[in-house]
Formats: sequence, C-alpha cells, structure tokens
Amino acid sequence: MLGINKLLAFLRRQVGLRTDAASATGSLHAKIAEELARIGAINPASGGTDTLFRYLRKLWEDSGRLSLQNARITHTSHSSTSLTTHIEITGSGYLTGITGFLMNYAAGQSGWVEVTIDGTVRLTDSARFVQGVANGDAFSLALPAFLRFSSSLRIRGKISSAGSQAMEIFSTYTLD
Amino acid sequence: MLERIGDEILEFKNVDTGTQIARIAEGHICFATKIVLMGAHSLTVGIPATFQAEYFDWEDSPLPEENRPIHVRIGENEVVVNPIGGVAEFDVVADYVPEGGALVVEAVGDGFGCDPGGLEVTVVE
Repeated sequence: MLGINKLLAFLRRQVGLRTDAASATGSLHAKIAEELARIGAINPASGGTDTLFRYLRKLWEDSGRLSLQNARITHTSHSSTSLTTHIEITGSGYLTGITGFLMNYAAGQSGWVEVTIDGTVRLTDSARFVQGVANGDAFSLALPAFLRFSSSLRIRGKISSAGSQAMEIFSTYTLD
Repeated sequence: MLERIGDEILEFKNVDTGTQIARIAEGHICFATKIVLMGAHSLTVGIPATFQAEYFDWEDSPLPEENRPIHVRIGENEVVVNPIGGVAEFDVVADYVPEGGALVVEAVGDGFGCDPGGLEVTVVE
C-alpha cells in the first residue's frame, strides 16, 4: 500500500518545480516549459523553423512572395555604346519578364542586355539581345521569366553604334 | 539621392513594400564623365580651324587627370586624339561643302562610359 510520503514524492517527481529546466522527458513543469519554447514569442521579428510562431511567419512571408505583390513595370531608353542602367535594385523579389526593341534601325545594328542576379551575371552583354536584319524596326522576343533575386537585381543595356537611335528595354518585376 | 555606380550616375529611391525597404534606381541619369567640344561654328573650305575636346565630370568640374583617348568623328571620318591635362586639340579642314552645308563633329571617350560632346559646324566656300 502506498504511504502518504511516497505519494507526495511521486507527485513531486511527476509535477516537478516551477524552476525545472525545459525538457521533453522531465517533469510536467519541464514539459510545459519545453512546449512554450517550441511555440515561441508571439509576433516574432523574422520567420524561421525553430518555433511555431516563427514558422507561421515564414509561411506567411513565402506565400506573400508567391502572390507576386508589388508588381512593377520599367521602361528605359539606351543610346550609348557603353552599358547604361535599366534597373538596379537592392532587395528581393522576382524578375518576371523582359523585352527590348530598336526603332528605325539600319540593317546589322544591334542591342545588348546584361542581367545580373544576386551579383552573378546571368545574361552577358556578349549575346545580341536584338538585331536589325533590315532597315526598320527590330524587336526581341518578349522573355517571360520567373527569376528569383534574393539580394539584388541589375539590368543594363547598350547599342552597337552611337547615333540618333536607341534600344528601348521594358521589364516587369515584383518586390517581396 | 544621386549616386555614382561605376561610370554612371544613378538616382536611387527607397520603396517600402511592408516586407522590406528596397533600394531602386530606374534608368540612367548621366555618365560621371563628359566631353565638352569647343571650336568654330563655321568653317571655310580649305582653311583649318582648331577644335578642343575637354574632359569634365558630371558636375562641370574639369578633369585634368583624365587622359584616356578620345574618338573624334567628323562627318564620315574618324580620328583618335590623346588629351594632355584632360584637353585634346585637333584641326579640322573641310575639302568641300557637304550636303546640307554642315558637318557634325562628335567626340566620344574610348572604351568607357562617357557622355559625348558634339558640335554642328556650317561649311562655306
């Protein structure tokens, strides 16, 4: 038969003390402390996977990115034979499309585009982006993209010979 | 705010999306370096005239340390001149009156981003 002292000792072991360290296998107090740590602080400053609230924030941030909010369109004109900036972003988002065209160009004149994502050149200015094959207008293929940039995006353009002509560049992108 | 990035001057703005503050520059304001071309606005056939191409920064301060070669296009012709102290001088002689009665003289920095200088010069007999 269980004596009163043994019963109290049993309860003390199972319930534990308020000061028990968090533990998944310890006393009831230790287990509750462990679960509170796993739930984490309400409204955390950043997403993550170490607490429930940080994981919920991470899911919210990821779904916000995928809903392609903050969509923007940029157009610039490039008339120099040296690269000039179409767009330079420090931040994160998606490049979702790019196209360019030459107006009233002589045959053989060209336009180049350079795309740099997170500091790495993904499209070099050594490949013609658009070339006039006959006098008139020349269009590049509209290039639909879904390219993630985590820290920076830079797009620059140039033309083959200076004059009154220019290459027009349009791009679409979203920001997180 | 205006900022020099490489050879270019760009204008950045901050965009607050609620998730981040992105820093964005769209388009190119100008190059950090430019050439100013000075000389006669009229030429007489057969008589040389002196022109001067000088490097300046985008805020109009002279650049005496900038001595990279300058390509000068005069109508259909092109020559390369080498500045000293940021300034290059060259002579232009017109052999005939071009169609339209004018020549376009343009000076372009060689192999780097630089705003060119240009002049339209009337040619007379």
